[in-house]
This record gives sequence, C-alpha cells and structure tokens, in this order.
Amino acid sequence: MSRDDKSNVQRIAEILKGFDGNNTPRRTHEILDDLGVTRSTGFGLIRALVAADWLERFDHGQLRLGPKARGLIFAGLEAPEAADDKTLSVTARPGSGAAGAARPDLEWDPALVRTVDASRFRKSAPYRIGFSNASTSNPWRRAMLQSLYYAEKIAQAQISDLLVLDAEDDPARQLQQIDALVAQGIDLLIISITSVNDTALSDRLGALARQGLPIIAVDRRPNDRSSLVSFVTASDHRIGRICALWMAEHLAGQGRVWMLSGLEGASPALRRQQAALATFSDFPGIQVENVSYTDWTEQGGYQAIEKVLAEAGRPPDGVWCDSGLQGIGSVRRFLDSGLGIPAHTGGDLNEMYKLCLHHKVPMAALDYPASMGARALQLALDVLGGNTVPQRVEEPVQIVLPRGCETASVKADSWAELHVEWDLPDDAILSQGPALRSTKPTPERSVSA
Amino acid sequence: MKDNAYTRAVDSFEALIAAPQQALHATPAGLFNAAGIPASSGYRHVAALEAEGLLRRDAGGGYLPGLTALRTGFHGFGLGRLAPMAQPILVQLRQSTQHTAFVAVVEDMDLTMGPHSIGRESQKTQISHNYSFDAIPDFTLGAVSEVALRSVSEGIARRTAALVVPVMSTERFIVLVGLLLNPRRSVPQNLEGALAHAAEQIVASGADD
Repeated sequence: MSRDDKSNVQRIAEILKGFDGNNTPRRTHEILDDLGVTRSTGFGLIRALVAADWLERFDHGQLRLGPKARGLIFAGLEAPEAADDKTLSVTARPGSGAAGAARPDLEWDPALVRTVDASRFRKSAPYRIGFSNASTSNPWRRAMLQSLYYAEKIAQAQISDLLVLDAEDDPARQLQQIDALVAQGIDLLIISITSVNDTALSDRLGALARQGLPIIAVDRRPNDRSSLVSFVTASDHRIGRICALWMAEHLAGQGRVWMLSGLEGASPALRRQQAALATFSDFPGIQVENVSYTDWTEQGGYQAIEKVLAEAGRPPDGVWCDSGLQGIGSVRRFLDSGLGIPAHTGGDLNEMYKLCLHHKVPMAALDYPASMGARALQLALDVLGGNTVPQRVEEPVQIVLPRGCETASVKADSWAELHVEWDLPDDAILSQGPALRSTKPTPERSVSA
Repeated sequence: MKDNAYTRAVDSFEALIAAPQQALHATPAGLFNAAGIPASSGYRHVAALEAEGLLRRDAGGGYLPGLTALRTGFHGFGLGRLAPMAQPILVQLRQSTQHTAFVAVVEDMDLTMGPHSIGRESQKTQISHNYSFDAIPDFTLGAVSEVALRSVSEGIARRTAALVVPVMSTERFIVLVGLLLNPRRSVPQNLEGALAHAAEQIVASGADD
C-alpha cells in the first residue's frame, strides 16, 4: 500500500507508536521522515497533536508522548457489560462461606512475565510470513487457522504474503515444508510443530534461528524452545487441573473416573493429562480406572468408551476429557447405551455444549482458545516491528459451567447456557474470537512444498 | 483551513479510541456512530486503528482498546517494560481471586488507573480514570497495603477500597498492582498472598531495573 493512501487518523497512530518504552524525546524531523509525508502535513498533524495534549514539547524541537497518550493505559481487558450480558451473580456462589471457603488458584508461570527484546528483528512492512501448520485434522485446528486468516485480513496493509502449509501431522513432511517456506524468503516463521520430540525438526529450527530467522510457535512447540522468540499457547496445565478438580469436587471426592486424552505425543494432551492425574491423586476416593487416547476426534472418543465400557460392564461416575472434540463421541456412546450419561469435562466444540445442556449432563469446560492463531500473527507483527514481546503468551482460558454446577473451588467465568451458540453449526469452535462470526470467511490458501 | 483538517483528524482519533470504554460496540458502525463520525470515513478509520493494534475485538466481536494502545500508554510514562506483562498478570490475578485486578500509576497524590480485568467479586464497582488518595500514601516496594481511593464524577464523590502492592518506581512514578475490594465482604486472606506473589514475579522478571 502506498504511504500516500493513508488517512490522517492512521498517520496519528503511526506517530504515537513511534516512541520507545522510555518515552525518549524524538526530533520533529525524525518523526516526519518516518511518516513519509510532506512537511506541511507532518507539521500540521504534530501541531494538532501537541495542542490536544497527545504529544508534548520537550526541548529544542523535540517531542515526546503527552498526557493523553499516557491516558491510553486505562484499558479494560474485557468488554464492558451490556444490560443483558453474561453477568455472574456474586451472591449465587455456593461454598463461599467460612465453612466452604474456596481454595485460591495461585499458580503462576514465571515465563509469562519474561520479555524478549525483538529490536534485532525490526524490518519495514509489508512482511512475508510463513506458517508451518501441524495439521488441520480437527475442527479446533481449522478454527485456529481461520483466526489467523482473520488477523491477516485486519492487518493486510502490513502483510504482503502469508504462506501456509499443512504438514498433516507428518514430521518429515513438515521438515520439507519449513525449507520450502524459507526458500520463498519469509521474514518470520510461525510454527505449530507436529511432534515435540522430533530432533530433526528441532535441529532445523535451531539452525534457522541462528541464521537470524525469527520463529514463533503456536499451540505446539518443540521440546527445545531455544530457537523460539516466543510461544503462543494457553495453559494446558490449567485446563487439565481445573477440569479434574471440578470432577473430583462434583463427585464429592468419591468415584470412578475414566480419562480420554487427545493425541498421543502432542504436548497439550500430555500436559493436560499430567495435570489432571496430579490433581486426582489429591483425592484418595477418586479412582482413575483407565486412560485412553482419542486423536481428538468424535470417533476416537466413541470407540474408546465402547472399549472400556465393554471391559468394565458398567459406566463410570465421571469422564474426564481434555476437549469436547472427543467428548462428544463419549457422550454419544453413553446415549446409545441407554445407561445414563455420567458427568463430563471438555469444551471447545459447540456440539459438546449443545449435547450436555440438552441432556442435562453435569459438565465443566475450559475452551482451548483457537484465537491463538490470530494472537500469533499479531505477535509476529510486533516482533517484526522490533517491539519488546512476551517470551510466552497465554491466551486467557475461561471456565464455562452450566448454572448450578459450580463447586467449592471451581467458579464459572461464563455460564454454558449463555456460552453455547444454538444458531451456529455443531462443529463451530467457540473460542476462535471474532473470526467465529466473521461474515466473509477468508478462503484457505497454501503454497506447494 | 488545513489545520482544521488536522484538528478534525485528532478529534476523530480521540473519539474512536475512547468509544470502547464507554459502551459495548459490536460493529464498526456502532463504534463510529458513538464517536460521532460519518460512515463515509468511519469504516476506514476503524479498520485502520484495528490494523495498527489500537483497537481490537473480543470473542463476541465487541471493540476493546488494542494492545498497542496499552503499550503506547505505558511508553508515555516511560514504563514500556511493563507493557507486555500487564495482561497476563491481571488475568492471572483476576482468575485467582475473582476480584477486579488492575495496574495503576501513582504520581504524588494522584493515581491514574491503567489496564484492568473485571472480576465477579467487584464487578459492580465503577472504575474511574483517575483517583486521589485520602492521605499521603506510604508505599514500600513489595509490601501489600489497603488504601482508600477517591474519585469524583458528575459531581459525585466516591470512595473505593483497594488492596495494592508497589512493583516498580521511577523518579516520578510508582507503579501499583491492585485488587478492588468488595465493600460488602471482609477481605479474603488469599488476596494479600496473590498480590505479594504477583509482585515477586514482576520484580524477579527484572521490570524494576
């Protein structure tokens, strides 16, 4: 896009973004050079910004951000409530009295407050960005990709090309595709890795990082994170732990639980399972009878329950699923058996909420945010803009419960009855952010490997 | 005449940036109508500010201040190192305690409210841009204390109780991380621990260099 096409509003944004973290004063001519506009336009904008207190004069033709710019720190991280919004009543909290005091959830990953100075990667836009995607084999992964496309559409002026390749869960194919992307001159690589333990992939990423290519991982990262500038994820540990804690408390600390994990070898599945097992071990009355892998598919969930149901001869008290992707298969198998549906965990998929609410199945869900695709692309732009960025970005994970399903420790951030989207398809992933209701879906594109 | 065009551009920018804080707007038209900007330029301006990261949309499509706006605000105070940490700190604190978590900057007797994450325990508490203290605060880095904040809007003065911990100081500013308290409940014991833990992590990260 020609710089001449920019509106004055966009130029104002660029001027304000041009100051560093210490608000170091800048000379007027530097600002005008960066802006690339005529002097009359540049001086006109600067005079107006100074008059309105967005900029302040410092000394001898130098400027810095002013009081109104400082006011931008007043920012709600969530949208303000509408009159009919999903307000959660404080008074409706069971177990919040002295006898049932809730245990605080005080886990903290120190990596969340570590930052990386990306100034060495600073380049002028527009950028060519490559995305090596592990797969698009389930609705969540397709939703994550759609959210990335949505972010590309928003920031299209800064991106000349977004090259996307699907490795179809094959590490060898991904290795070839990474080389293909690099050969096409990408400025930054986003990767969702097929296998956390694949040394060939890790070695290749390490070599590329040493050559100066910035790499951001999304959702799945290699075990060796040294090649990464940053990693965009959500707390798998929180998903596994909170779901297990809810299940144990919902069952009053007594009962038989079956566990359905996602894809064997995938880092999110592993971390959720480890966290859940550790939590269940705090409840001596909870008996974990089996752990199955389901490939995060409905069919995998259905078949796993069919197998263990045949072996056990009776249903469990609860089924811990690390996602609704396989959870719907489990619920459907119990529906087909006519034995009644035990309590379930696992969100993500619209159908999981529809099924559980329709059949009044007690459930707890923490949607793994598919919006991390968009976040990864935004982070890529921040890195190429030379900003200081977090070493690890965790997209927030909300706890979603049907009304009446809160326990002493697990409180809802949102009610399932309001979270479900009855008008959207069953395979809709509710956590993909604004891309979910984007009226003009971006067509998928790829380049040949 | 040209100066008027530049002033109008600044006014449009300011109105669009402020609109998400005043009400929920789920469409570009809702946002630029609230900002008093005609459709002929409204769509373009909203798209430009979203592309620059000064606006963003939440899962429901509602507009919010963008992360670049937040970063620019911190840069204005010369506190840029805190910008990438604010969101994870506040979301974690809010999820841990169910109270509204915030970062604020203190200069003398005045407190500028920064990014905040609304918790159910204090969601009814109105949040103002600026507060003052009833008395000169006596802050010690890393020490949690309860403070009374005073704000005035539309001629009404309000007092808000908060638990705060200073996490960083410069020659001019003190940065606080805090939790708004529920006036109808006693202060839960876990709040102090959560804030102290947050402060430890921030200081350990080197933000207080």
